[in-house]
Amino acid sequence: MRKFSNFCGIFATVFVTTTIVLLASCSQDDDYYESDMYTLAEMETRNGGNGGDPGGGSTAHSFPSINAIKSSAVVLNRAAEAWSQMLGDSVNHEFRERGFLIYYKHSTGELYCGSIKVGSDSDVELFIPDGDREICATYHCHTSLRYAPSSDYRPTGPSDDDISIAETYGIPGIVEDYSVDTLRGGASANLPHYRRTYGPLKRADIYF
Amino acid sequence: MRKTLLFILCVFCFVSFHAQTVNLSKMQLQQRNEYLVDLAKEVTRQFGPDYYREYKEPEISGEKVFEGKWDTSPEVQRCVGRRYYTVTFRYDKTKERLNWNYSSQVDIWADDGEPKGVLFGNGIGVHFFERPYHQWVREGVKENEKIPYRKLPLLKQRNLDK
Repeated sequence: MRKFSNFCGIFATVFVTTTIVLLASCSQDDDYYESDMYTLAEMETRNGGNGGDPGGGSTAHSFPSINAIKSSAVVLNRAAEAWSQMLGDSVNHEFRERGFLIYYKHSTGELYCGSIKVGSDSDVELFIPDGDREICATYHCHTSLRYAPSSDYRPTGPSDDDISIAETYGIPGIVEDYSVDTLRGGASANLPHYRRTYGPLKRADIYF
Repeated sequence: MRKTLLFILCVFCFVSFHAQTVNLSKMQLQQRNEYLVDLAKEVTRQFGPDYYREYKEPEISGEKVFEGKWDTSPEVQRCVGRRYYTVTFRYDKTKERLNWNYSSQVDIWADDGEPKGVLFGNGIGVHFFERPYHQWVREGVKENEKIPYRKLPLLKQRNLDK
């Protein structure tokens, strides 16, 4: 009986240790959400690549993390420009989202931004072309409600659709919005605002 | 005589006010769910008729507590701690694409059965902190006070357009 107990103890220890090692190795490899695995593979198929297969002597191109992108000067400057344009609209009682694509040049390791697109009061469409190998993130800003009726309100932060698009394309997103949880009509356009990230933590490596 | 009349008037107002309010927490589950869904449909039709959908069964949340962190105005702060329910109406995502996963979402106070606010699928909503819902309906909701319908292009269509 004692031997059996010892055996159980050793078995349990080995099992727990193995599980911890496996979990640790998984967490080191996964730099993005588990749910993105399918969509990233799908994206590679869409892009005409080899499906992200690291084998076969293909070359991997990696992308920077969304946190690195969010804090880069080139992105911050373009984001400030987009936010300023959005505020300019609100002075004229118009509400239009602004956004742009962010690219990563693999040869030089530099980030650069696309032109600022103008959207509607609830959306700005940022077209991600098929086969693109440089887009590493998207940015868009939500609008002020400065001149909306005081009975209007909206939740702030990325919408369900923002998150869904980011996950479908496997491209992380940055949204700039007011810091309050819910923005009420008539609220000052100059309330504190900040940039939140959503979707995968970085675009998956591509192989070609 | 004047005092008596004033007293009768006050009693009448008090009784008529309480006759209209409903404490949902004390209702039977089925009766409460019917009340919530009927009222949520009515609110959606009043403020965003183009967002009204008969798609799947509406989802009813459990009781939630209003925290009111987002606004320091007195009309919002006096409601902090009140309980409410949320009724969510979904839509067919193969037929339309909205900013949010619901076509409308209506919050209803548990203690008096009055709507707290409604959010629509485009991300904009109307709250009833300043002007109670029934007052609004009594006075009539103007066309420019309704939330216009905004949809996004379906992703399949977008890919085909390229």
